Order: sequence, then C-alpha cells, then structure tokens
Amino acid sequence: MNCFLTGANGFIGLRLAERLALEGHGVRCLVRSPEKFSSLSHLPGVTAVTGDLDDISALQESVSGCDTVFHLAAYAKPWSKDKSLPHRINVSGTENMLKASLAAGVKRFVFTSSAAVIGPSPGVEPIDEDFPRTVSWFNEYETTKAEAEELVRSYNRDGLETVIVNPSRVYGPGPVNESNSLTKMIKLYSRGRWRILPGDGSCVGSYVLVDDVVSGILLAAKHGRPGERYALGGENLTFSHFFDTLAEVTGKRRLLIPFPVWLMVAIARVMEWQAPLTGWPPMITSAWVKKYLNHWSLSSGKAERELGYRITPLREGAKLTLEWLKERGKTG
Amino acid sequence: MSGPGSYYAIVTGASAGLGKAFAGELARRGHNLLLVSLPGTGLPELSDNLRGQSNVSVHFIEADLRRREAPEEIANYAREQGLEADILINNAGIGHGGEIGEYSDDAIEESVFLNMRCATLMTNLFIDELKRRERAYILNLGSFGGFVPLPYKSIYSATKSYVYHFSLATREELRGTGVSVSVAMPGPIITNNKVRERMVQQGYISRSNALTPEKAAAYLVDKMFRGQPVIIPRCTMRMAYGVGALLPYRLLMIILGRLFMGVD
Repeated sequence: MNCFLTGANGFIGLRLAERLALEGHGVRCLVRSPEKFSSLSHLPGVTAVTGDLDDISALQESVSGCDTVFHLAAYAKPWSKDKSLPHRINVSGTENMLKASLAAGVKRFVFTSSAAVIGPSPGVEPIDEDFPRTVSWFNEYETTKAEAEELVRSYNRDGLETVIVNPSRVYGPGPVNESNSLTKMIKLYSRGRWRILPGDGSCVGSYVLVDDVVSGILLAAKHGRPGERYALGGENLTFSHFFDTLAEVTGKRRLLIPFPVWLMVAIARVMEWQAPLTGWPPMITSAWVKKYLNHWSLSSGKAERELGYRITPLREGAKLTLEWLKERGKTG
Repeated sequence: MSGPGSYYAIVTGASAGLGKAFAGELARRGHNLLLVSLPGTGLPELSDNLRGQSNVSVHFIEADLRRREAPEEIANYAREQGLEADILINNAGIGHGGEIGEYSDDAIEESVFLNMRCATLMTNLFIDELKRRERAYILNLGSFGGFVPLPYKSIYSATKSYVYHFSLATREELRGTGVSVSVAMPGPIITNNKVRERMVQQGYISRSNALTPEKAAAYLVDKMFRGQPVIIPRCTMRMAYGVGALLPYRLLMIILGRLFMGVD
C-alpha cells in the first residue's frame, strides 16, 4: 500500500506512521516545514512533502501515486485566538484533501473524525454511530468535524471510496502534550501530582488506547464499507473507575479531591474572560466543563463486527503506557 | 427495528430558507428526515444531497400545504412507507405585508391556511403517534411579530400570535407525556431576497439583528431538544422583547408602525 498521511506529527498520526512503516508500506507525510519531519525521518519507507492544506494543486501533486490517504490533520484545541482557524483547517483543509485525492485517482480516503461528533450518551448505556444527537454541539471542533464528515461522505464517488472513523478519548504512548491530555494525566497521576476528580466522578467516558485506534484506522482502510463511519471506542468507565484502574496499575492509591462543577465553571469563566485580552489560551473552558460532565458511553460494535476491531482493556493499556513513560524516563 | 435511530423528523417547508437549514442541521445530528414542500422546489435534489452527505434516511413528499387534504396525505405517506415520527417541525409559513384593504383574497387565504390551519392539522394528526414515543418534540414556527400586533403586517402577526398561543396551550395539555412542544419566536432571518430587501429598508437595528438560516436552525434545534417552551434566538431580540414589554402600548405601536410602514 502506498499511503499519504496528514497529521503525521500528531498523537495518532505519529503512531500510525510508525505502524505503517513497520508493516512495510510506503508512507508519504504532509508536513508544514522540513524541521517537522525530524520525528519521522528515522522510519524506513517514510518520506515527507512540505506543504499545507491550503494549496490544492500542490496537494494533488503530492498525493499522486498514492492509493490510500489517511487524513488526520485537524485543529483539535478547544480554543483559538483566530476564530476562523478551526473551520479553515478542519473543513476547508479536508475539502482540499478530498479534491486533491479525487483528482489524483486515490482509491481510499480514510478520515479520522471524533466520537465527539456522535455526541454524549443519554445515560451510562453505550450508544453507537447511528444514535441521533439531541445534545448541542459543545465547541467549534465538533461542528467543524461534523461538517467535514458531511464533505467526506459526499465525496464517496467517482472511484474515491471514503471511510470515516470516530475515536473516543485516546491515551497511550506518544507525545505528552495537550492533545494527548489523558497520557499527561496518567503521567501526573503516577507521580502523585494529579489530585482532581472532575465533578463527583460518576461520568462515563470511553477510553481507547492509541494502538487500538491505529489498528482501527488500518482495518477501516482494508475492510470499511465506503460511505460508512465507525466508532472506535475503548472501555466505558466512570472517572472514578478510570482512576481506580490507574491506582491498581501504578500500585499507588492517591487521594483525589472531588472538584465541584460550580468551581470548575467559575474558573473556566475567569480563564475565558482573560483569554481574548492576554491571548493566553484558557486551561479549561465552560464548554469543556459542560462537555465532560455528560456520559460519553460508546459502543464500537459496528467496528468489531464489520472490521474485526478489538479493544484493549484500560488495565493493559495503562500498564503499557506507564512502561513506555518509564522507558522514556518520564516518570518518577 | 424501533429505537431512537429509526424515527423520523418531519419538516414542512423544507426546500428553502429556515426549513432547509433545519433539514441540514437534523441530518448532521443523525436524524432521519421526512421533508415536505411544494412541488418543483427542488426537494428531490435536496434529499439526494442530504443522503450523500449524511448517513440518515431521507424521504420527501411534495405537497401544497395550503390545501386542507395535504396533512392527511403526508400522514398516509408516512404510514405506507412505515415511517415513525418523533419530531415534527411545523415550519412552512408565509409573511405577506401591506395595508388592510389592499390584500388580495389569495394572500389572506394563504396566510391563514398555511400559518395556522396547516400547523394545527399536522399537530392534530401526528400527536397520537408522537405520544407513543419515550421522547418526542414539536417545534412550531411563530415569529417575534407574534408577541405584538404589527401594523402593516397585521395578518402575519395575528397568525403568528395564534401559533404562539396554540403551542403553549398544547404544551400544557401534553405535560406528563414524552412530547415537548416549543415555539420559535425569531426576529428577522435572511431566508430570501424579500427579507433581505426589507431589512435594508428598515435600517440598522433590523439588519444588525438578522440571522442566517443555518445559525437560527442550529440554535432552535438545540433549544427544542432541551424542551424550552419559547425560543427567541439572539440575545438582542430577547432584550428587545423585555424592553417592548415595558414600553407604553401607544408608543410601542407608533414605533412598530413606523418600522413596518410600506413593507410588503
């Protein structure tokens, strides 16, 4: 398989590039500058093209000769100083990739969206990718990703087969930064520096290991039905369960302080108020607080049935992540 | 199979403006659609587009909702196709303006039939089915002009005030069932060129309160799902409602009369 990869410097993208290289595929990565290729250049079979998502003709040239496109590049931060940025990257950028791929005769286009588009579950019972959303969009990321999904589906024609995957909350080995906040949380917990339990800890989320997401993306490229979307979730756990599992795996039980909702909202309001004045991105936003105080219980049944997708339990995934962190000398 | 993912949202007047935006917003959220609009307004193409870009099932029926039989035909179509509704958006409406004595019979009939009779018949026809759902929603399209008598849009504002009262009354009747009735009372929305021109005529305040159909639809759908009884998009319009309620009646009428004189 000759692949084209966007977002290769991202959390999932980097892991995907490594897996593709390991399996012996040719991988061409879109990077914004040559320096951005440094984390990828050691991988066999991986090459880079410099460019961005604005230039369709350049994209078309870069994509030509590839049979599969993995489009992962996105603006995923919950806040941006430039209000048009999420739309420009997530919607226009995706449309440009689609146009270029169609023109270049690409066979498969795998779009990595987010389970946030599907929406929260009404209760602790998991919902699937067909569950109609009644809850508002929480942020620009969700609306722009939903819009991008519509574009991806509408391009499923003229030989370009498009498949969408929707990963839930992703953790695991990878750059420890704000787009990989769960791993950061695991790291802080193991060092005894994470002391907060959001709300009363009863909200359910779906926690998926990055390696499962990478497998899901590859399986979708191979077996996904064109025009469909597949939820790639993990174990559905409450915040309390999540931290209990971390306690077991690390062998260190930390006392967590429940962080009441009103306090989180108050802090978020102050941060949002200062952000446009100072340009410092808020650590949490009130939309974020509202978002994470819902249940996000997700069923990956469709991916399991149709693609052969498998979920790694958090216990194993967390162990793996901690070992990886230790190897990197990032703990203790 | 019955479940939240297999029900349909019925949207009337779906081919253009706010109705089209409702269809788009609901499809984006994964709701199946039954779209209703006049023949020759591009419903087949719109349905095709929506099918292409979302993973929902889209049906449409072309019907002239000014005809008394039209709601019954829609119900029959849904029954034949096995479509079960859990959302009803009574969006179709018309906004004639002018001085009394100058309206054509057709304009009067159209306003009364479409804005009042159609929404009432649709609600009456579908309510039993909606009551069987665990959760169901009705959204009726009133107008900010339904709060107050609008000189030179007398028929329009009267029909929309009917929609307002009808919605809130039925909402109360349905308390204890799974059906939530909401009424949208939006200010100007740029749905067609006529509205655009009128807002240019009316000047700055009207223009600055105007909304695009997409933004309005996203907001209204959100609030409908939250079960809000009266939905007024835009904070300035909510403030205008508050201020309007405080103004002396005579003064309010003079202001509104000046604002709407000469519009059509």
